[in-house]
Amino acid sequence: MLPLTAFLLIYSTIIVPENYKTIQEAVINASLEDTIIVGEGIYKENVSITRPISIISRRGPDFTTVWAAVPSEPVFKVSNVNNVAITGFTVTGSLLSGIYLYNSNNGTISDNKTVKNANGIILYGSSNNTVAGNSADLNANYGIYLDSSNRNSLGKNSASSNNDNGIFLSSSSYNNLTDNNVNHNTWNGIILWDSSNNTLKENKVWRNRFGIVISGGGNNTLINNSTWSNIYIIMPLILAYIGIISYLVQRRVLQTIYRV
Amino acid sequence: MFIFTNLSITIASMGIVLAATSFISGLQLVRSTSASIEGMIHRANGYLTIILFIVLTLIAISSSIINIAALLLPLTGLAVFLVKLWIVRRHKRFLKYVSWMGGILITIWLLVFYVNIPV
Repeated sequence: MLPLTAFLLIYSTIIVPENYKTIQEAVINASLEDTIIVGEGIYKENVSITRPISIISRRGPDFTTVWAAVPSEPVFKVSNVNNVAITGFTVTGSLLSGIYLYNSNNGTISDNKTVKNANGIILYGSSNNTVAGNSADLNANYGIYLDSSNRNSLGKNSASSNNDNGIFLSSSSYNNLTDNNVNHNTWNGIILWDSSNNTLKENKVWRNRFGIVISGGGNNTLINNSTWSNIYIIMPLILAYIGIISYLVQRRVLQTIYRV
Repeated sequence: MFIFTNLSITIASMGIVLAATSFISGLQLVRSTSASIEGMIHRANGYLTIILFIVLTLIAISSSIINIAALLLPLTGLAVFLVKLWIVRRHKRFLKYVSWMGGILITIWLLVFYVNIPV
């Protein structure tokens, strides 16, 4: 077991903006497996990550926003690298993707808000990643998009109010989608396109044009997902009916009390 | 039930129930033989909806992202309610319009419900 000082020498912590003004500068100067802590504020930049590091916001996504300086590029792009973690940012303003993993494995994307991009989170050719606790809402196309990406875990994410699909798996297999909220997307809630052996468990897929769509592929497992597309249309009628019953009950009670 | 994990939608649901009860009792009030009981039901449920309108307004104001519709609808409901009270207590010659106003209040509650549906 390494002593603490040796640990600190091997894995150091870089603080933005104290040590470096921008996140990208900190990434360039980081060593392998360093942690970059980002203070609150709005950072207008595109961050390209090509080495295994962790980038964590100090105060969470409500206080730390990264805005695409070049809108045609992703805000965070992770290319050909394993073991990257991105945690706790609001990521917005990209015409491509908020967070983009390209050929990158074993990463962790957690507790981010990837809103108002073309796509919230894209995984392309990336495997064994954990995408958890993110809000991929209000994007122009997809909330979370996996292409040729296998054995990833998507849990407790929100992919809602996107202008196309909430979660889109294309040619992706052995992924686990658990306890995600996928609501109010313009087209499909969750779509599996030519994707096999995926497990969808306890996802809430409400008020989308189509709930869960499986096209091509096979051996996908669906367990306890709820797709109550029309509950909110029926609900007020049920409530008004309860109101009428409530009137009858109140009248009977008062008639009994006042002996009318 | 998942739907009622959101406070606004829960209050809006209660509002629809109370408004429907109040509306039916209001219609019965005109031709009922037991007008006092119908009046009690009508007033009790109606005044409760005022409290709910106020709570919804406060929730809309305290929200970090202000939804204009979620703010204006309960305020409109309050305004209609006050005009209805004003007619009933001070200007009986407009009394023929109050059932319409009751209908407007139910419509407002339905809109409040749809506006507050959690995404």
